[in-house]
Amino acid sequence: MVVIGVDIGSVATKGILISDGIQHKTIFPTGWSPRDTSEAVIAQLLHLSGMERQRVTRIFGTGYGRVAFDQADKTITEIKCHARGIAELLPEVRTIIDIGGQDSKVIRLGERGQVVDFAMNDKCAAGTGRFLQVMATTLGLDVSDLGSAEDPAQRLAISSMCTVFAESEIIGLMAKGNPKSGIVAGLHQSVGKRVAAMAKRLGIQEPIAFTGGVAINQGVKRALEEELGSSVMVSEVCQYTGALGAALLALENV
Amino acid sequence: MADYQQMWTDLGMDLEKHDVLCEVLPEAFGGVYLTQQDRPKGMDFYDFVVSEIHGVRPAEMIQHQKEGGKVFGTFCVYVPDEVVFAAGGIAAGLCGGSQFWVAGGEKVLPANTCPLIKASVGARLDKTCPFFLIPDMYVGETTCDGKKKAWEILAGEVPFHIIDIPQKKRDRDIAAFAAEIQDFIGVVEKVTGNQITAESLGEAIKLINNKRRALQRVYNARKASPVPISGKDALLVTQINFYDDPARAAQMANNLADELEDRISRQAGVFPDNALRIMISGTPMAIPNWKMHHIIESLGAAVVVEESCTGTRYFENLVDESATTLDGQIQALAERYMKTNCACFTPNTARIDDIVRLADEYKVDGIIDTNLQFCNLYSTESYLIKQALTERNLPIMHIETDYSEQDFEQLRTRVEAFLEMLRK
Amino acid sequence: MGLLLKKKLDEQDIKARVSPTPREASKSCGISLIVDEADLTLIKQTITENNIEIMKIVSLARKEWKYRST
Repeated sequence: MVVIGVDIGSVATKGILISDGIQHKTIFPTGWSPRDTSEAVIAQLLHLSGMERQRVTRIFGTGYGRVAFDQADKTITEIKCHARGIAELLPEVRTIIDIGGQDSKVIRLGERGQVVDFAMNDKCAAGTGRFLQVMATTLGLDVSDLGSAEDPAQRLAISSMCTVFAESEIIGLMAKGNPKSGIVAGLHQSVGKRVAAMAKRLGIQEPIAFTGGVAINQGVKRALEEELGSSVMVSEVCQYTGALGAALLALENV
Repeated sequence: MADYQQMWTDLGMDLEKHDVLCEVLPEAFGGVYLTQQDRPKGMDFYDFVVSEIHGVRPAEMIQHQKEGGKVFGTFCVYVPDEVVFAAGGIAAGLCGGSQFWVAGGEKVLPANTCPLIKASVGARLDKTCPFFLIPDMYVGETTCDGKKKAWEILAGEVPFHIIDIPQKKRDRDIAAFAAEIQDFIGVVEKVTGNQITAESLGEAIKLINNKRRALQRVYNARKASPVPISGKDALLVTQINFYDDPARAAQMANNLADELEDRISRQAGVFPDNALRIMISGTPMAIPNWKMHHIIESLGAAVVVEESCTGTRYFENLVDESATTLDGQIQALAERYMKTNCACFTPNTARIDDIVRLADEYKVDGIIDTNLQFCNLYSTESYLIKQALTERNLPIMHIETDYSEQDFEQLRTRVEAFLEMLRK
Repeated sequence: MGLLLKKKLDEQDIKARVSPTPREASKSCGISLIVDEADLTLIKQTITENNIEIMKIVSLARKEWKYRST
């Protein structure tokens, strides 16, 4: 059986095609048309796997753009998809911390990998990829370089909670000649603090997995571990957790 | 079909602004209510009320005033309507449930105030709701901080009587509340020019109790599976009961209950048999706030009960009808009203008991505890509620929201995820 | 009057929904019955037979009711 899972995020759209146990993956920037991007993702997956569209049994969609996803046979929330994805990648995990482009969430899992509770921050850019994107631009860096650009030893505290005010704050810090590496460490700490607070409110049970595009950032991982007082596991395909979950759910037709 | 433009002009309404709301209403109502299938015929009356929402009842109230009667506007289910009706007055619940009125309230209130309060103040200040312009007196109360201080601002606009609601439920608090009811009687007598007797108060108690009984019947029907009426429809019934004539309200609710009981006997439901059954608990949903119900029910789950002031807290518990003296009746009123478990009381563990009991009675699969944005009382209380329900293995999710459309998609995702959790 | 007509239509199993008057039909608020064009002849007959006063009958394009917050 051939299935496809697509996670249409605010920043990036991730797709996974599973065919006889083999996975193909692809990622596109979502841009302004989730519908067009999801079609492009499907086309790319078919190309990578050498499959024809008719051979695909089911397509499941998730992510904030799922409502516009016409080709989906079913749409499922990111919460359930992340849980399913992690159950596959890191089955012993009991808490998922996901930081995406414009939201962050904490998901608690039960013995069978099922969702037992969750919390979301989807109203404020602080603690999300958006925060890092805005700051990276201000610092003249690429957001993918942030992880290696930090120097925790020179970490500067960023006091502003709000993304808009934090931006002004780091401009001020730069103007005073503070090292960028210290500022970046401070930004990572801000994100870590914010998300850890949400996680503690929900209640944490180890082991913890860190997923989403931001999990690629080593600096945020470090900060998160520090604020939580626990280590977190990051899968190699952390950004694809949701898409993988969607594909597996499509396979199981749940 | 009457044209109410003249009536509205005479009330001093801002017709232009009001027209903007009139423009939105048919679509808003249609989008939420008329997309439903197989609604009980008894809902026709309530649909009609909405169609003429700023016409029929206001016209009745104005007629009442023309005949020398007085109208009282209220904001809280703690205010004993019985007292007003006993003096031949009309009591009507005034509640802002629309984003439309919030901007008006924000001209004088801090932005971080509950939208219900902002909308109530805005409806009066912007002169865009006849119900807010008709009353001879507003009856406020000391429940939450937001309301307490908002009344001070509105008192500059309209005669106000404030009832002091206690914060605890000891015997001496019930006695204090009885004294407040006594004071309220004096005020109502003065405004209406009518004396309240044990007879008239006794009659009024029966009148309001009958309305309560009728609503209880409608709600009881929702305990059935499959459920014979949607949560949206039941909510509309309750919302309209806040300001409609009590005798007619009871009659219409009883008619509806008859029809629902018939549906139950035929196993006729409005949701598929396996639809998830959800309880909404929390802050009231004033008309036309249908947001949470719409989100939940358009995802295929049925809202089978509301533990809120626009729900069970409105009509549960009857006033003891056996009292024959005014003092006895006042005591009976105080005792009944003090049973309402609002978060402005401390402790409020009795609300947890209510939620657990209702979850059982209505065979609920999950609870959505929702409060209006900036309501510290209910949002803080949600922590202990969640703790208590989690201990009892009752799934619960907390949502804080306002009246706007902005967070619609985020709420849908959360509710959808919660429902997915329940389905496992 | 609107509810009376609704009742009469219910008796004949003719579908009708009570609704606030759509803006395209009239600017003043008030009660309307939304019915199917196909049933119009029978409905007009019912109106005449029962002496029901109506303001007017307006034909509107069928459309999807979409959620709109108030």
